[in-house]
Amino acid sequence: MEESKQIEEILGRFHPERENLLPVLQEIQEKVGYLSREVMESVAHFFHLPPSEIFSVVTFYNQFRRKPPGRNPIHVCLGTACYLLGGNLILDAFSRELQIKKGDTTEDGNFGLESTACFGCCNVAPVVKINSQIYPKMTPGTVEEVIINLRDKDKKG
Amino acid sequence: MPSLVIDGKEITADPGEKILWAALRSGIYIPNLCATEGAELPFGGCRLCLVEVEVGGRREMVTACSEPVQEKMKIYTYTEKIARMRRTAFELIMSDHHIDCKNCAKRKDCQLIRLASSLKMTLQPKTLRSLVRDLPVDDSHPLFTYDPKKCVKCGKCVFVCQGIGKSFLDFTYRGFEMVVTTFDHLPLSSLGCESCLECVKVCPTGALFLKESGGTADG
Ligand code: SF4
Ligand code: SF4
Ligand code: FES
Ligand code: FES
Repeated sequence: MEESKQIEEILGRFHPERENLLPVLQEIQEKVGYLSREVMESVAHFFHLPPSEIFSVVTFYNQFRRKPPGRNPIHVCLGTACYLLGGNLILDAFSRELQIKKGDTTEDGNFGLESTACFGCCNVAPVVKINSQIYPKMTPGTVEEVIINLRDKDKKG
Repeated sequence: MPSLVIDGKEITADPGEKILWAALRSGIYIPNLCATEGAELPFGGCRLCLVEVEVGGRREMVTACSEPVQEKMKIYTYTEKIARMRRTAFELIMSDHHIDCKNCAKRKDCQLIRLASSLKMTLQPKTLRSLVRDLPVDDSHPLFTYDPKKCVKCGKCVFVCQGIGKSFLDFTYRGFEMVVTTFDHLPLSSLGCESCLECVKVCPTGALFLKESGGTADG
């Protein structure tokens, strides 16, 4: 389904009441992958709210992203086990290496960076998931290696 | 009309009125930065207006701009504890403020300078590390400039712009990353602003300033 159709369909199932704002944004993100400027404008129009207020809500919550996830979406686990073993440091290392913040995508659309909740691999924490592959026992030092390998793979593929 | 005692002085206030405005009207100064009279809640949460109140024998710390007066309330606007907390609050505000008074449009009429002198503090934080973020200046509007590095997130511009039915500015992100900005960071000139300049008038700092005032946002 085309993106604008999808969004129309989602909006069609809700009443334009304030309490529906979060569910609508969540569902759009789930179906479309991210909340673009145009999408935020449509949502503002639908709820009769100023666009700045939608932007305020979208930026307040970490769960929303405003750019496409990228060809290699990097999910850094910040579940309890991973967090305790330095998940945050892994996230920082990716952030530094790729020069993007959490929730962002690199200019070339190659990498996206996100944090997630536990995905059940706590025994090999801290864990990162990229394109459904699990990277166990990450350290800030192995971050660069992971990125280089993915870049190489991208060039070949 | 509720009557209350502020620092030993008896005053009367309107029912439901917030302590801050009742005090200021009676000539008792309580430091404040983010409060707007008529706003339901303070937008920013600067916490400079902390006071201690005593009702029915219980004493607690409240923000004067959000706490309504009560009959027989006793209010202390200056205690050691308050002074300490206000100092921390002010340092926190100044720790991500780009202090550049000599090039600043508001140097003659700056709320931060007034606050610093009433709190007997310097503008430069002494205990907290200063961490000014690298935020881009919006120079697009023909009449005024917005320099987020001088924004103290008081929310006054957000509130007035909302009041005239435009809401071009809002709080975005949160915690240390919080910034007052436009929808998707669009330039101010692209939004249909009709230049009422109310935001510039209410801004207590050099964050929003008239181009003709000769201030600069760099340096
Ligand atoms: S707003 Fe301007 S005058 Fe006031 S403290 Fe900041 S730089 Fe100085
Ligand atoms: S731009 Fe000025 S009025 Fe607006 S929030 Fe910042 S300091 Fe307050
Ligand atoms: S906490 Fe990270 S996989 Fe369980
Ligand atoms: S004036 Fe009360 S919290 Fe800022």
